[in-house]
Amino acid sequence: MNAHVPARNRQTRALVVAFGIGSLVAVGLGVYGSTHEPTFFALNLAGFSSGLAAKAWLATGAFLLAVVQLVSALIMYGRIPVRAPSWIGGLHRWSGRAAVLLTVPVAVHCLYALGFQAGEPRVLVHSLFGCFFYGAFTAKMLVLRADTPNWTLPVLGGAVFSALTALWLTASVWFFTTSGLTF
Amino acid sequence: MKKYAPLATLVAVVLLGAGLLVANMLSNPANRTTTSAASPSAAVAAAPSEWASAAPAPAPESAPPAAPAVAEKAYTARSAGNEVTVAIAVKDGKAVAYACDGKKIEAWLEGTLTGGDLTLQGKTSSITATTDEKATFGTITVDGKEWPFSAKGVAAPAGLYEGRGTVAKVATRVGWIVEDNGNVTGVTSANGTREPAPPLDPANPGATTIDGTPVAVTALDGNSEVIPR
Repeated sequence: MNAHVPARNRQTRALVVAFGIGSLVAVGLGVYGSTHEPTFFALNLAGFSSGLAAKAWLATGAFLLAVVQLVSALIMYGRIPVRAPSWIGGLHRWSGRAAVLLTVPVAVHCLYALGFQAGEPRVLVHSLFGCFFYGAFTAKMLVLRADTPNWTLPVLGGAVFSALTALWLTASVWFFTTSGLTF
Repeated sequence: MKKYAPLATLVAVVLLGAGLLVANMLSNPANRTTTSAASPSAAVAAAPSEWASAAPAPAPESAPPAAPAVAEKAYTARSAGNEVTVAIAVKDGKAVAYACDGKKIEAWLEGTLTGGDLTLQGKTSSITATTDEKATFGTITVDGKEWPFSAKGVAAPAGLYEGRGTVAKVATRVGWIVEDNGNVTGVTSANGTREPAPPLDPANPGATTIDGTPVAVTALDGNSEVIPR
């Protein structure tokens, strides 16, 4: 319906909308995390010794799937010299969905029970990346079907992957090194 | 349909998150309002319920209803039978408390001071008390055991202290109570086990070590962030 609008303007507008909504999500999570009273209570998942262990393993699962994401994306963009199999797109989509759904219980626990905290560098970095992750993820989902410049998808994908890696390093890896590989 | 697949993913994330949040809120024991009108338990139930109605969306905290009776103060006490030492710090309507027996029992609590009513909650502990500038009277419950205490207002260096460090790669947390006669009671907690704390010199907290590893010690006031245990 906007056929008369030059393509470049349309792209910029789609870009601003996607990044704007993503930014709102990130800031909104941060505001919620820092204004609501941490409850230090959350449902524990069956089968794990503690809520922390459950979170650490869920996040580890998400991180492993994120590695699948990175590799499949590189194949789709032709950066790995293999012939892209026909199912690579499906693999990328479904591993991504599984990964982000695995992160949700972790994030809900973080936000509900702990909130945005800045007491020590690890915690501050984790809080910031936690908010950024969902903002970047939202923007990436919005960009997928929108008419935005070609560079946006790999940049956002890279941002989502980097954020998840940072989250995993500042939480799961920290947990495993302090408490051992407990389930 | 394919056009909306990413949106469907987003919606699934939001729905799962909202569902878990609601499940958490429903099962949070602090959100179960009691119907009994008994004053102490009603006071406990009333404080946390203000965010029980918080929507999953970003919700600002509502303002505390009554002005705190004391702006900033610390109190220490032994429970009536000398079972535990208790320290409470209040500041600007917020309160933190630490209780321990110097050996195995400890509790970190966090709460609010509304008017003269002090309500604190730990993971398996709680305090209800009334307070003024000079003293705090109330009851502390730790793991189902209930002890009355009367705490007197103290001035620094008396009060409560927290130490944190990484000892042999294990995150270690220490709590100390310094009474105004100079007595220090504390417990070290690491990896789920508790033992008597290392000595603390309130005049030189920077020198505190566990097995030679330095521990960062901070004197807490009512506004400090503690992790309830």
